[in-house]
Amino acid sequence: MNALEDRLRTELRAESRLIADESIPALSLPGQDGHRAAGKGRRVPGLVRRAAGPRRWPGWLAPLAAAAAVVGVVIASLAISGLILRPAGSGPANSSAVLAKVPRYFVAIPEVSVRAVVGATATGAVLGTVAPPKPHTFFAWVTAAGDSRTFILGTSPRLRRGDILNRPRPVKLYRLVLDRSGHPGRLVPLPIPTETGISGLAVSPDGSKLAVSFIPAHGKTGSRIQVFSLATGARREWVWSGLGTLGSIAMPVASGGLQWEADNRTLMFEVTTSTSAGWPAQLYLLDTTAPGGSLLASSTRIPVPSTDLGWQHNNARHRIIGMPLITGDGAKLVAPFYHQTAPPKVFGFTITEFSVHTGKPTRVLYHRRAGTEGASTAVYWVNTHGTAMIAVRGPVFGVQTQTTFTPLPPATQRLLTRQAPIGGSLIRLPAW
Amino acid sequence: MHQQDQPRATASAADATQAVTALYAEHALGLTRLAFLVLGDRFAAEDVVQEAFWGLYRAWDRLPSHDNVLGYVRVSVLNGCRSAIRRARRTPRPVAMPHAASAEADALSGEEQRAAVAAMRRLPARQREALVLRYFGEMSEQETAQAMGVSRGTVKSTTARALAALDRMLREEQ
Repeated sequence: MNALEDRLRTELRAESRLIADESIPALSLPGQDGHRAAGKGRRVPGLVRRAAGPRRWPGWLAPLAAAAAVVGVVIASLAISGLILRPAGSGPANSSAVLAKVPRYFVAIPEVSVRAVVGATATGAVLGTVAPPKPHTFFAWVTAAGDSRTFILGTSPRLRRGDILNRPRPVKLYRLVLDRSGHPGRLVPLPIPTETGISGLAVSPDGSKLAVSFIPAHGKTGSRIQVFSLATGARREWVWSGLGTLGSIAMPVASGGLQWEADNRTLMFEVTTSTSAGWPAQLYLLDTTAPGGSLLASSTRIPVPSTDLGWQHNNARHRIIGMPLITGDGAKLVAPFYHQTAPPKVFGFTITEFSVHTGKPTRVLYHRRAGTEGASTAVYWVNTHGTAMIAVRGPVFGVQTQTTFTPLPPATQRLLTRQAPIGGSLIRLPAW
Repeated sequence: MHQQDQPRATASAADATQAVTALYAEHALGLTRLAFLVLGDRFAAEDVVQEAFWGLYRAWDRLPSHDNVLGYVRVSVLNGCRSAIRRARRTPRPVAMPHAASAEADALSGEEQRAAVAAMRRLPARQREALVLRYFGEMSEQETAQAMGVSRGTVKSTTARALAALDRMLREEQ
């Protein structure tokens, strides 16, 4: 038995190193900045679970922490449910035909290790890995252009323990282009200075522009969006002059709360405000050809009720969880939607289409009622007209169409999720 | 993880914040790793540890002595792990992920594919706790018994049964 004991010791030590010193969140107690109320307003077990470590989604945004917690059920609880969920009356379509509707390649940035993985969606084959250039040591962001071969990645340095809650970290941006077979080239630095306080970024479908949102400086107002030309580094800036934070509802999308329409001109963003009831959010469309200046003046609001989006203290019974995606044609939003009944609680998770014009739900693509939060949903990518999307239903990544759900191959699932005794978790955050 | 590692946490109640913060700075990593090994979920582990330190903070004034606050937190962490596992039992089991298809993918996920640890995670929670405390925490049978709230004999038998089960599972997989 000694050999087994030694082996167990060795493996336990190695396994424990998946928890890095730098990743331990700070403890916030009364009397310290950002503390939570003792014994009150505590999270609902499971439902308000963090989606990912503070390393990638730092806690310096109060609403982000809450939104992250809400959306946590979407991605950190991926494997709680044990079922491959399909609505009655639908089944998997021809797999290869369905998989042809979604991007061939993805880049997934890791939670616990260093290298980003380039994978093939339809097979789960690893086509290459990429390490962050020194002195930075991890990937904080990734966003994909529309060609499935151009990705923008952001790297950051590790911070000391205790910095996590208080200090936004610098981000250096790189372009990664895959060859025709999907194998990655080298990371090429973008002509954009290292930025701090990034809360979201999205590369335009044609790969020519990069939108970046920033949180306000500590204690001030003035969230910003900058759009850079990736050819020249020229930028245009809009400022949200009032209260509100951009990019708070970042997850589960690796690029945060910014998304382009297919016209390479219209950018969707969300603004979250802090109120006594929680952090309601609103969605806007920015015309990036407009002169820089006021973000509000250059944008139009999508009339989704603010209380349907974001996080409410009262654990509102109906709300969108996570950042909705906008279809390339700008006509629809697709979003994971959540509702619950009064005790005894029944949780409902859907993938729902909304009209951008009216802000109202127009179609439910998937619906699961459950006694737990484990049947949660998320949407990671949607095509131009909303006829195909990459979604998560319970524990499974798959292609959701108007009528069917086709799970991605086990090898692909395995690159993204990890089993655990009390559930599963996302180990790499993908961008398609 | 040893008793002698714990700081001299003899601060008064008025210094609770400072004392708890200092204790957290020193032991959060080890305790989070311990909870992670029991639970297999880093975020659940972080939550459990944070809750344990919050519990310590709230109970600070009521503690009869501050000589063994690390032991108090360690017990809280284990209790928190048990609660998390109980909550998870109300949910369906996770789908089994087959092995990765390619050698490269296998290599990439190798850090998550430690056979003994994977097998340990299929053991009952108490056996898992015992193994983690004994072989990761390097705690004696007596220390493990205190942390688990059981007798030394129970630790001995639980550990033996866990190792035997682990051995059997690993042989079956070969």
